[in-house]
Amino acid sequence: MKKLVVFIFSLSFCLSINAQDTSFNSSAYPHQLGMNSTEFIKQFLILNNNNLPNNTPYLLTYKYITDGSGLRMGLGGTMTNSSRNPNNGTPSISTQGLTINCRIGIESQYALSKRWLYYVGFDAFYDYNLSRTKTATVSGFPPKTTEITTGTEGFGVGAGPVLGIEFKLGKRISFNAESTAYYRYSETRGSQNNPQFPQFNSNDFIARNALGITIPTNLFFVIHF
Amino acid sequence: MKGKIIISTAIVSIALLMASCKKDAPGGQAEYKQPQLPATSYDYAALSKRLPANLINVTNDKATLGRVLFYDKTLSVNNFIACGSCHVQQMGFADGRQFSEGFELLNTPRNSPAIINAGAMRKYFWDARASTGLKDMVLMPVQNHLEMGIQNLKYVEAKLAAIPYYAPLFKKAFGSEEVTESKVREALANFLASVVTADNKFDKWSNSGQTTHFTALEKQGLELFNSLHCRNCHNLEISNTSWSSERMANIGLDMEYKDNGAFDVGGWGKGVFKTPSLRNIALSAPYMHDGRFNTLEEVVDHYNSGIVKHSNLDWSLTNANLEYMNSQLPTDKHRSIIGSSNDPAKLSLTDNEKTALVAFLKSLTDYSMISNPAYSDPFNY
Repeated sequence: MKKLVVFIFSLSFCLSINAQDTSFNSSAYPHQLGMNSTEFIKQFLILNNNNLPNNTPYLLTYKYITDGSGLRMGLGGTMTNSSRNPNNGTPSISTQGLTINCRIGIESQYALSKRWLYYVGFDAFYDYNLSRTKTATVSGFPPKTTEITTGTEGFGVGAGPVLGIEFKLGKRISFNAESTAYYRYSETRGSQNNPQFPQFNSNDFIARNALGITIPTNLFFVIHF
Repeated sequence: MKGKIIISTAIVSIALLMASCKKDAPGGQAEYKQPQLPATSYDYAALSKRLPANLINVTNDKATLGRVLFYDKTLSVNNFIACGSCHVQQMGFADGRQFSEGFELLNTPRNSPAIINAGAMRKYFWDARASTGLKDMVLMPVQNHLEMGIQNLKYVEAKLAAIPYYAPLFKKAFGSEEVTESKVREALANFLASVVTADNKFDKWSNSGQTTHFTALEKQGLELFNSLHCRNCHNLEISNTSWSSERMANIGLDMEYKDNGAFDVGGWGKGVFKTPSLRNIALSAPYMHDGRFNTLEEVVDHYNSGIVKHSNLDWSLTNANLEYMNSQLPTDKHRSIIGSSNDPAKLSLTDNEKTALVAFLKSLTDYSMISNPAYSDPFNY
């Protein structure tokens, strides 16, 4: 079945290439809106290995490119919220999670052929993450219903160069993938709060410096307009 | 007048009913769920002795305390989960989930391993990161940041000391009501060492020497199990050090492992994990460190034809072992070899042979263990 899907996908891909105007002038459409389509495409293209990392947190990208260079941005994030209120004596619990990732940078593009180009750039980024769990439970003596809170909150800032490659499917459609080498400084605070045992309440603080290199395993579907 | 009284009574009744349904406000009075224990302790010492190689000298009172601790959610940072949340008796002390849920509802990275004959083991967890004894292992999940989340074990001591039902249990087990980390370890280790499975069809056959306990299909499966050298990694005799040989092996699940297993602990190759016990295997689905296989049929299919070539692939799963197997069998029972000696073996099992193997694996279920009240949740009455 997968082979059939791959075949149809490949056929459509080839037909769509031939259907396009073959004159590509990047300055004609300076706005480029990209969407991370790795997970979608992975279902069809990677048949035996699902272990390639999804190593970029950015879901949407935007570029403003004129005369082969310009501005680039990226935005990503997740939000989760769940709660469970069982009626069998088990504690009720609610969790909240939030991550926000954004970056901004500059980029210069260079043609390799009519359809292929590569680009180099430099990004600065900021990310924020929050995870909090509240549990209503019985603890202490005399027993009381108390709310125990645990969680972490942190942020990261950094910057680094980027190198990418882009394939133009047509005047308005392209795919790109890129590799980054980001230096990141981050701070995370972990907290635990149980009113029944305040002597064990904690606020851990962790600061980290790291250099992270990503390989181009994420494919962005880009529309030019 | 009469109507007004009826309406007033109805309003008051509804208000009272609503108030009684309201959840306890934080800080309000509440009640502990008390453990229900028998007047005379279960004979954990006798249960533990059914495992000849048991390394723990189990006492009834320590194991009784250990049983309460095992099922007490107080051992997690937010009182949300207990050891028994991920190790359920009816599921062979696994939990039936691909990945277990931790104290913040986050999934753990690996499938919950079944707890079986742990008293005789020397390696614990899929990556064997605990290898210094049961007492050292038992509080590692308590301190794990995803599982139970308690970083400071003094917190455990304080929480347990504040619960009235523990004082007599500690006093009975250790002669003093004082709660200490080492006592908690010892009690938990005593309980786990008493969880022994030694009463499945294979045990009955081993003890009696008669294969009448098996159906014809199970017997065929046993013969296949032996001839295919499954015992290289899965010892069957209860008299052995433990049920599993505790062998560490890469079984060719992936070309590139997302989880490198014991490699990350150190001293082992990538994709190497501890070989699990096969006791109660039918109860502890899903299978493998990442719970990728839902059924025993899928597991047998993997060993039959799904092994992936990997540089660390265990020798027993290669053609080299198949060649050795063939050398010990009559020519008409030889299994065909596809590829070179280093390639993964393809067993070419027939559908009937696969069914027989699965039937044999299911015969390793010890129903007396999963229904034994001595191992049950004392809070779940």
